[in-house]
Amino acid sequence: MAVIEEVIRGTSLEQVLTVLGDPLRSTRILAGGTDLLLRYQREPDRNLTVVDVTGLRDLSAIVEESDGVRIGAAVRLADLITSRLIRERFPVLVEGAASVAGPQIRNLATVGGNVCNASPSADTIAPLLVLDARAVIRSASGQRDIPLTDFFVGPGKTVLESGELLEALWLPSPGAVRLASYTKLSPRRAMDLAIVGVAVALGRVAGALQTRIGLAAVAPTPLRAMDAEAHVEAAGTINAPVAAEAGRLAAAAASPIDDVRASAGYRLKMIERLVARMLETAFNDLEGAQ
Amino acid sequence: MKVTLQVNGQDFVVDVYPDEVLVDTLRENIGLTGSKKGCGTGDCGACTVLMNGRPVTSCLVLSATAEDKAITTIEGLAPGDDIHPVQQSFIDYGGVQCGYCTPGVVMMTVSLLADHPHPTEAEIRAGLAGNLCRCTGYSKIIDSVKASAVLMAEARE
Repeated sequence: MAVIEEVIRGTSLEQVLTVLGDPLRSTRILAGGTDLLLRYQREPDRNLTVVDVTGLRDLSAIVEESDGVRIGAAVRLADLITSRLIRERFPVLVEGAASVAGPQIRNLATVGGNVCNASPSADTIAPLLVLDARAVIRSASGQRDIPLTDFFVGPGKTVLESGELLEALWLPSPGAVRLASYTKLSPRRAMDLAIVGVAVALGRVAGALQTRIGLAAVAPTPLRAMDAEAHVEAAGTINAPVAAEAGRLAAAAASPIDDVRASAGYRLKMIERLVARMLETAFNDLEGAQ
Repeated sequence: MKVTLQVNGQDFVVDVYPDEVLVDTLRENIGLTGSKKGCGTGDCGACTVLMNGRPVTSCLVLSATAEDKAITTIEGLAPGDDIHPVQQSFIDYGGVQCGYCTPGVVMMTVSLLADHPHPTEAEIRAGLAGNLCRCTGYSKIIDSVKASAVLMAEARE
């Protein structure tokens, strides 16, 4: 059973990256702690150093840039939910964040932590995926940024390499009117994990229908249903048959498991229905908004 | 490791383990046993304290990271033997049965009423979504929160 041997309060990104890159230590980033403090004991037997990054100003800021918004990885979910900028520009992310656990947890948990914990059922990830989020990754040797779709490898596994840290999530400004929503199915209305999470975003860019569909809790990682997106974009409109086929294609992209929360079969049916319904609703709203 | 915690307006220098969580330090080290450790996994809310004015589950906070934050526990809500209007309302409206969840529920209610001085029932239910009570069926807790809002509004007038 792992033991936390040392706690370091991060005071600068450089210092954190130095600790993280130290090959003699086994280091974990501590942000909100709501996953880490439940999980570290189950790690293989070794002594851990944890570095608290919540004191780093850059990691705790939401910054509007000319072509998008940069959300520091250590922004607390409660602060994301109340951010005027996020509420106005990316309300689907507010929907996702607000459906995580309860208020006390949201006051601790961070968006970067939710992403790096890489739970298939994480409620902020499907919304981030449909917003075309990019992951800004830092290490002592430099910075790289990748589409969030490429960030997840498996349950709890990401592409982050030893010495690397998720610094921020970057959301591009939508090119035009965009409507997005997140639906979480769970037995309880709070303090519960998703059985199925679906995020849908629709926009018109130069007349073309841009479609994004993100799925949670139905595969080893959160994912985009790209065949379903392509089907809708090729149709250029959404009616009942287009929506139904998109629902089927989305279900085909999933590989859910049976667990205590729901059966795989139920999850597949729910993806099909939710994707179809959410696409139709979003399309009607989009037409109404133009 | 030695840390200085600011709890209920007072500084405490305490020796904590690196993996020690705040609820344990408050109860075992500082002697403030009002906050309860129900589940230890952030699910029950019995350990809720205010950190810089915001309610958090103190079982999921490493004490070593709480050093520069103002912590308020149930013991710090009112001076001396006085009680806070929220506590009074829970007594008056039967919001307390076995009492185990009560400190956490009261702390959450104080925060809820700071954000929503006149909460709707939906806001109360959403606000208390992270606090479990196994006795009351919640009705009397909701009544107590509503009564607290009235009592605090009267006190402000």
